[in-house]
Amino acid sequence: MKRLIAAAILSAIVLSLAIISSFTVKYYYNSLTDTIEVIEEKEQKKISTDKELTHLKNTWEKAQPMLMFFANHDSVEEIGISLNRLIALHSAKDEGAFLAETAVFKTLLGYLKDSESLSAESVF
Amino acid sequence: MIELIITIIRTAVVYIFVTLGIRLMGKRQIGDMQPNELAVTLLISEIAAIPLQDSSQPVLNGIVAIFMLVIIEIFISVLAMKSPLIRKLMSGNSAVIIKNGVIDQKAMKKVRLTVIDLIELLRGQGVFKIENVAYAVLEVNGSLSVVEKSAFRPVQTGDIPKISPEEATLPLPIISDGKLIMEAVKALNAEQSEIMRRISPAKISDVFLLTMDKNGKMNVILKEENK
Repeated sequence: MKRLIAAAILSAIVLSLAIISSFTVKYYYNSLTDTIEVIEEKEQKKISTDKELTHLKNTWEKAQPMLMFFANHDSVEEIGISLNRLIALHSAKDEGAFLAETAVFKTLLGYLKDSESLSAESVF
Repeated sequence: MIELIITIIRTAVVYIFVTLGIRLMGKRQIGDMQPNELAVTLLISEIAAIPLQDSSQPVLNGIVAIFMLVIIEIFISVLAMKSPLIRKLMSGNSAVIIKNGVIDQKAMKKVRLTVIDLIELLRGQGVFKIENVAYAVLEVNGSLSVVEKSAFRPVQTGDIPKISPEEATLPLPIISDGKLIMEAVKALNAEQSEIMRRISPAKISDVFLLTMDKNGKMNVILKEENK
């Protein structure tokens, strides 16, 4: 009986971690993707994106430590590097490279989300 | 330097969770394990090594995998206790290999046991002649249980009339490394003052180990510096 109780507690822990992990990754994926899409749109219309970039950087600073708990550290770090490149390109006012980097940023976020979401591909 | 500290912390965390997982699975020696328990133990050791070798892997992934294996193992062992079919599926059946001194060759083939293996297992049980064996059963964990024919069994006290051996009792450690273990004193309904009287002139702090059974039989080993 004691072992069954232990197994039930462990099951609850595992399930909670799975839900928290899935929720965290999805939440930050949506938040970061929404912001980068706004940045892309504004950049194409030649509108200043300073505010959105700061927001993106702040969101990432909150997201990174959380994502490190659940996702592959290399994948998370790659997104961080891409964000730094975005900031540098924005400062250099290199619009073409900046837009190319936003696509890279979105792709890396997509990889992270796919690897952390439940699907036949991610299982096998 | 920091990477080294991270490795130390990760190792300690993984160690704690692996120990916890194995503890929850129950106490069994490697040789006593059922096939499914052995599989889980091997998997746990493999999974535990991944976050230690690859620092880009979150420790949490390893811990969750270990927990999941323990959960599956506990549920399967509970199901196996309730259902003979599941027990048979997970662990297989024991097989009678020798009956009345005669080897069952079909059974040996079925369990893929060679004669050399059988002789080795019998020797391990202190049996050197197959014809002396009444029954030999190959258990699911691979060990051989042997019952010798009554004519070849060692004499036991119960076989000799008019001998009533003293009831066996379990000696408990009462003092360990100079410290009195109150739980053991209570379990034996003993008095601390009586124990102190019996070990005098030595004091409790002078005793390395003192064991006592229900009959009050004591064995005292003093610390080397007090001898």
